[in-house]
Amino acid sequence: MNNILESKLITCILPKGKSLEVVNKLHDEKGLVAINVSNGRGSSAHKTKIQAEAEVEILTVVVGSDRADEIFDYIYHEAEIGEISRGFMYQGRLTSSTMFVLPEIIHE
Amino acid sequence: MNRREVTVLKDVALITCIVQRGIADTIIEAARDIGAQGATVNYARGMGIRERLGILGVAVEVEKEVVNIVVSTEQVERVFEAMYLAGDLDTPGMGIMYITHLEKAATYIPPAILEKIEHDQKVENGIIKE
Repeated sequence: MNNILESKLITCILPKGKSLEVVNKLHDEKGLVAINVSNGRGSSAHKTKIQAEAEVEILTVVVGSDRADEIFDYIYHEAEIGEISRGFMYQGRLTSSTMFVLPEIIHE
Repeated sequence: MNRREVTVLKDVALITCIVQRGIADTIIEAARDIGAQGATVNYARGMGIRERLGILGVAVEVEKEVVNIVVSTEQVERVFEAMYLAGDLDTPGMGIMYITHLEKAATYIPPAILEKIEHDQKVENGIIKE
């Protein structure tokens, strides 16, 4: 089993409809494929009561430790996390992770 | 390329709580009452020894809600306890929760708080006096 021993999990909570653009950029510009998106609902203290509950997309990226900070900063800027009501993100250490590569497409 | 700085929060922890569908809002309210700033909920399907039959023959919902709340390590125990009690997690079949320590987190930080952090750091480093 070809495991990556040192890897990180970056999780990003984004407003609905914002994650696909980030996923595409991570794939095209950073060459990442271990990205998943799921749906949920979120609430934040910065929002008014009317906005209190909103649909969100939860983006998760598994990345090697050597690139984790670079990818974290990249997502921060691309998703404009530093702006009001743009979301939230965090990074945690994984004990181990497996390699994930997409199969090559055979052109006939 | 000129890029803005990334302001990250350190000493943060993630509380994950998996409960039966419909319980999440009660748990989030308890967490917010005690100081949690936000929460995310997503739906999942759970399993367990009581997935079909709960106490006294009452079926335990297989559909689950997964609550994720990020808090500072300073307040993590307090929020964890409040969530535990609000969700009645001491009752068999109600759910499970755990804490994951995070390396860093980032979000919008109001300018007033950013200025206060910068000021506190300068005081700590002896650049300015209080």
